[in-house]
Amino acid sequence: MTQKQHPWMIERLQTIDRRWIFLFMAVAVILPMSFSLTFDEAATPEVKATYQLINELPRGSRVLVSFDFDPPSEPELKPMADSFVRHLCQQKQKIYFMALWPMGQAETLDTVNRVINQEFPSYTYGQDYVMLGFKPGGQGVIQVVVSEIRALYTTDALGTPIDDIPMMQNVKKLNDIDLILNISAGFPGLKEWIQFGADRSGVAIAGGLTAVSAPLLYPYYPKQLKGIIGGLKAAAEYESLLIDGYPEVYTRDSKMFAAIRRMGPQTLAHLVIILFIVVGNICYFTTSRSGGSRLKSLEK
Amino acid sequence: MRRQVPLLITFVVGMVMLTETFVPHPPFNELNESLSITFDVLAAFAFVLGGGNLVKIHLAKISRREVGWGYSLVTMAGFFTILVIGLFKLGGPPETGFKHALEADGTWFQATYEYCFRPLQATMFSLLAFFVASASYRAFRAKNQEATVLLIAALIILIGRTLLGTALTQFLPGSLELLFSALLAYVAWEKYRSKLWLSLVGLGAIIIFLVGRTIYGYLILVGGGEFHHLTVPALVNWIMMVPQLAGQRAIMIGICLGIISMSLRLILGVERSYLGSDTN
Repeated sequence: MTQKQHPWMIERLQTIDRRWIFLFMAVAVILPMSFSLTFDEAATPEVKATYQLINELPRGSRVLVSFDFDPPSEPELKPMADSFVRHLCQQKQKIYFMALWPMGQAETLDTVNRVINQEFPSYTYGQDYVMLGFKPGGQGVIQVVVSEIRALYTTDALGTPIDDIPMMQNVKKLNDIDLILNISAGFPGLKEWIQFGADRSGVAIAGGLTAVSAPLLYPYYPKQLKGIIGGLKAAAEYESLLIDGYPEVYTRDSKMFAAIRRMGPQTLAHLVIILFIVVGNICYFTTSRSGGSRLKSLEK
Repeated sequence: MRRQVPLLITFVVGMVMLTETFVPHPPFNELNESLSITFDVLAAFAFVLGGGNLVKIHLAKISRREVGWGYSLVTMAGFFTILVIGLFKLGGPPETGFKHALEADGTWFQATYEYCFRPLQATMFSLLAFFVASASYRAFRAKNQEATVLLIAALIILIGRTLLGTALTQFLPGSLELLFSALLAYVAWEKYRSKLWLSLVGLGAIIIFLVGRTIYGYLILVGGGEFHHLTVPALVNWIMMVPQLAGQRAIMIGICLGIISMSLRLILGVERSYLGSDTN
């Protein structure tokens, strides 16, 4: 039995060199970056809840911020980490940085240098913020700080004895903290902070994580997890809320809002992927009508 | 004896941790803290073990000149360079000496992290975008009913994560959405009556959902509020908060039951594979 001849275009599309697809994707990412393409973002309820949680904290509250990610996830997670710190500094909160990932301390230092040191020079180390640094052990570290922070952290990341740091004077255990914020790219991360930290100590928790891992945390929202920032889009929404919340300080054009800038390339990249899925399925259905059995056997 | 002692340790530690969860008072909470600290200390040794293993494997590969030994050479060079820089805390502002805390400005550790490690890792991860694009073109096909449902849900989420999602449907008035919803409910009812579909329970659930949402939305609109449930952002929210959440919860409950069962097996000594075989 002879197979039906398909239009030449379908034939070409079926056997397209994958390098053309790569080229499409590269153009979709580079173009919006070149023209600084940005979009307006309307915040989802989960993002609004996180923003409100920080906004409603009394001034001078103690907030633990755990940086549990490394460079591969940085483009997605660093904007939300920066936004959290910006928001906390605007609200004059006391920030306790720590990390469960080895590279978390380097990420913390980067945020401290770019955000706190440059935008909030009045913030003093040891009085307004402290870097406790990285400790190995994952959820084991969380279990210990629930009952006694000094059992693991005898010094901060710079080597200063904990008892010599003014803002650590009345902080003995996790219960002495008012809010936990976590930015996580996997294990150990937000899930472990909820299970071993927030639930056991009763401290409120919110956090940001990559778009692929965000669905795993939805079962905890909104009772155990007070807010979720899932992926770059949610980070851009949070930045938009910051801009709306502090119009005298921030504008949309500010270079500091990386998520809003990165949403341009991501939006176009998503559109290209949608286009590929649609074209791929059109080709599939066109060819499977006639030579379907052969094609299906190949795809199995 | 070689097996009894580890089994006893596992039993005692497991029981202490389990009891502490329900009785968080002395001596159990103190024991729990001590055991957690022990775990953290052991976790620190894992870094040494991991580093040692890395060196052992790659040095063997280099000495035997196996295929790709050049890559092993680069790995070892990178490993020892960072190790020396990190251990001896080299670099930093020259006017204050040659050794500084790793967090100080201008240390070599900071420089290697900033200019080598970070861009290299980011580059590796960025390549995913290209492979995802290629895979979406070649593999994401509506081959059967399950794949079609997955494809539709994925497309809605993808569109919803872009400006297109808002632009496509946000202008729709809520009343039109409700009208469309009521129409869908009517079509579903007709199918239900004619028993064309075998899955009557599923179809019935869809009808109840559509009719319920229509009445609920109508009441909100009458009250002067805003209601959207067929716009792309509303659909994305619904997918994430209802079917996705239900699936996740089911998986989580399953995993938890599995963990409980496995933990009991370990504590009671039924599961002994972690001890290795008798010959080891």
